[in-house]
Amino acid sequence: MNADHYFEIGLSHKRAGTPCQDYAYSGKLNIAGKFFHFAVISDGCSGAEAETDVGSRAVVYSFVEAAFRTLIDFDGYKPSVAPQFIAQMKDELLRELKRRSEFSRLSRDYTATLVAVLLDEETSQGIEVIFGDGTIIHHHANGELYVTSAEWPDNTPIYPSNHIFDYGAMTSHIRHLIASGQTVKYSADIGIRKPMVMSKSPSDVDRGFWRPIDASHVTSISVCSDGIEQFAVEISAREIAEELTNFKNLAGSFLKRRCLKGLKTLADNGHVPIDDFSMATIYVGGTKDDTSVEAEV
Amino acid sequence: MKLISDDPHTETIVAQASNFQFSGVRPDSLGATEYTLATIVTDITGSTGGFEDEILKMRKLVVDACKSNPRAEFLMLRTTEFNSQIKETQGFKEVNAVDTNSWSATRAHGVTHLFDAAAEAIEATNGYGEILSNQDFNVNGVVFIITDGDDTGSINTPSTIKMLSELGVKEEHLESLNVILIGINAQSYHAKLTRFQQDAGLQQYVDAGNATASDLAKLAKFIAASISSQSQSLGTGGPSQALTF
Repeated sequence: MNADHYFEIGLSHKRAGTPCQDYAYSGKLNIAGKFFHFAVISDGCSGAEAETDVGSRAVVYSFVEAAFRTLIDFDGYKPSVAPQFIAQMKDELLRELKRRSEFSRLSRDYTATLVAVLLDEETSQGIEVIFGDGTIIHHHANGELYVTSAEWPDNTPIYPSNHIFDYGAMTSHIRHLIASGQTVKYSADIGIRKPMVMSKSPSDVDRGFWRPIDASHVTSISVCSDGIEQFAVEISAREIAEELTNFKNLAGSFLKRRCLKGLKTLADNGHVPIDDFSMATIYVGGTKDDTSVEAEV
Repeated sequence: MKLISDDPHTETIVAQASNFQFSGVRPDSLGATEYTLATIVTDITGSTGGFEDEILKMRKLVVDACKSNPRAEFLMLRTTEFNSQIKETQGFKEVNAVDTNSWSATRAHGVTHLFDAAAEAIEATNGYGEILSNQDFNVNGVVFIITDGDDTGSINTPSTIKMLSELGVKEEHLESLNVILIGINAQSYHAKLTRFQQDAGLQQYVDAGNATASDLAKLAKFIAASISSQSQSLGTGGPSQALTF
């Protein structure tokens, strides 16, 4: 098992001279000699008119710290306690983010999404989360790609920081969203087969869409910002995912190498990221040919 | 070019090029995103007798300088020696892993197959560059050919060398390749070596003076600086500029 990450500024921020608001991080945690790999990204809200490059880093490190503390409290991770583990992760994440949110001046700096995966190196069991919007890619041993993306009404997700700060108009909008009965869609694009769609009430996912996973059937799990859906010229997130998960070599900076080469190939064909792009991957190397677990909600 | 040995339990691969073999670290042991492949080709013909130890010391100084380079983790080194035969004394290896304590001076003997040695080094760089490039690494190369005389009896020609030095870039395995010819105690061959450099399209010919301690120390600095410059140009799409000796 190996983890790596990559992020780059999109064309719109590059041309405006403003910083990349995406951040990615990966690594492994040693919990009493047992190893847990993590891959995490965060996408700062560009419409917040704030320094959300600060916020995306704060969200990422809050997740890592929350994972560390929760793994210690639970002495690792077991699928049998997944609901309790996830419940504590939700609390720890917000606690850590609140602690880090005193770093900069504006509370809006912290409006950033979270997409992450955490896996036990020995068992390949773990959890994944989309908090706000973003994409998770499961690359299966049989070659299938499951590209799951979140779609919020009016493209306005609930961020982790919505639970820490009252953003006035944004908070009202979210209350209205919940009251109106609109749903959040999590769509898994599986290629030629019909997409799997899960509709969730915003109140069910207001603290993120978390689920336990059995990664023994995948070769890799990648988390990406919604920048994967915003490439010029028109190209699907799935095609981007196919290019960027086509790993030739899995040592060291395997994802950075693939992204540098893959994004160059895409650019040579006119496909460049308009929005900031971030991606983090855990290479699992699973060989079990079983995609039935993808049907679980 | 094909792999001869790809045993996952060993650290190196061995590949067969046109009429020789070269070796390098297994790509799945490499962690960086990009590498500059540097090769030092050293003349050990009879006329170089008497300064084998000084040349060895110069090569060790190059390695020490490269290890201190901020981009040391992106540098790989291969060394060969030639007379009428070409011998790989070290395959492509990350410079931080090179142990110069195991290096020894080779007794000088034989005649100068300079063109064959140049062709071998360039072809090995192309070949290993292809292996790395196919594994998503970004790669460029720099070859230093150190000689004290003109070619006598090679099969390869300057035009073959020119073709080979363009091939790796044309096939997009190497972002760029610089080949630098260096003359030591070669003042009487200045015109011929300059002609060779021009006919083969090499980046530059450097008259490095005599095989004295100070001239060779200066040469070591020049080689290390050229490797550094080529490494910094990786990712720019083109080669580094020629440095002044």
